[in-house]
Amino acid sequence: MSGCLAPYSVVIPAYNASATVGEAVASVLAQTVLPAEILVVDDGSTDETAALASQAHRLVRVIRQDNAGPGAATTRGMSESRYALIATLDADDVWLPHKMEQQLSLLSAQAATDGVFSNLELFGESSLSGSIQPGWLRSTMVIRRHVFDRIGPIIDPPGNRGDMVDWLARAREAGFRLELLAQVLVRRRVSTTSLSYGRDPLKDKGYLHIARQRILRSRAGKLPG
Amino acid sequence: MVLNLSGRYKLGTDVSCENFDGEYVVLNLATGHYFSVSRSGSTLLDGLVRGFDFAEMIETLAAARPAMRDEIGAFAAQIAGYAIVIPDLEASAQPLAADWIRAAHEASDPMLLEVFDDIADLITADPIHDTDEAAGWPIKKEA
Repeated sequence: MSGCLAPYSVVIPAYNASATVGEAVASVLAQTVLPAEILVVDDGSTDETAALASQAHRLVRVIRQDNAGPGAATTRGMSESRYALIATLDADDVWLPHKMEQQLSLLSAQAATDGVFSNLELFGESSLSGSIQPGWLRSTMVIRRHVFDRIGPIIDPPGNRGDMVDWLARAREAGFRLELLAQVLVRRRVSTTSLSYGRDPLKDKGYLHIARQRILRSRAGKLPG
Repeated sequence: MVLNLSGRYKLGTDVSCENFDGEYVVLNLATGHYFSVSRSGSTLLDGLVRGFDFAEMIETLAAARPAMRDEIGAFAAQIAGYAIVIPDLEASAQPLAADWIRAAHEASDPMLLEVFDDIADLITADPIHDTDEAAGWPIKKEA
């Protein structure tokens, strides 16, 4: 069946990810349905991220840009990708081998579905390792190109947190149908420094910024329901 | 939890907030709820987390707008119910500050808390991912 599935692009935004980008790319190359292209967007790294990625496989194309944030790097990769289906992956996460096959099968069977996500498992040196969570995140996402064409750039809020929250909220608001598969198809890395759960006032500003924008849009009658 | 007139309070463990033009936007990262707080509500919330005496604040706010006295109970129940504030057993009472009294006198709008849960699943899915800066993204460089 996998031979009938549509070709897809993979976009991996990366910043100083030399310790993990090889593992991320390897997990893409281990898919039961290989991508047509892998775009690693090096967002101004000062380490060996670009070199390691470009040596990984002939499918990998590295795009370099000045540091602009994960949303901007993802946007750049999506803009330069060439296929009708786009999958994204953070440079420190990994896909499980049947991830794309399962998601592509769903998109093939359900023409009205615009994007598909999945549950994920946390891993790494953390007490949270092994936890299963809903993966409304970049690393689980596969979308049809028309979603990106319509919603536009992924905006990096202050603190660089919440870019996908904002973009996915905008996609839902626009009426796109996004589904979450119950299967665990991605492993998301949590480092020891993340045990604080990221309750960092400076970084959390991004979420507050998103909430503020939505409140203003609600008052202006621009949010559904 | 019900707010006690003699109690002291602080922001909940998973709560972040920011003042935008006199109105707080509050976010509970554990539940994904976010809240819009009216100007008068923001004034009360600000006073609570600064350790001002609850009863004194009610009198000051009601002096500026008597109807406030009837609204505070429901508002206090909401901010307690959503764990926006939690008891702070170590705080001691602080006298009302001049800037707070000035804000209270200017707060003439109804004391309201609007609750939003439309993107709760997206917010709760997101913030755990805080890798160390060597492997992840740092704060974006200032232009």
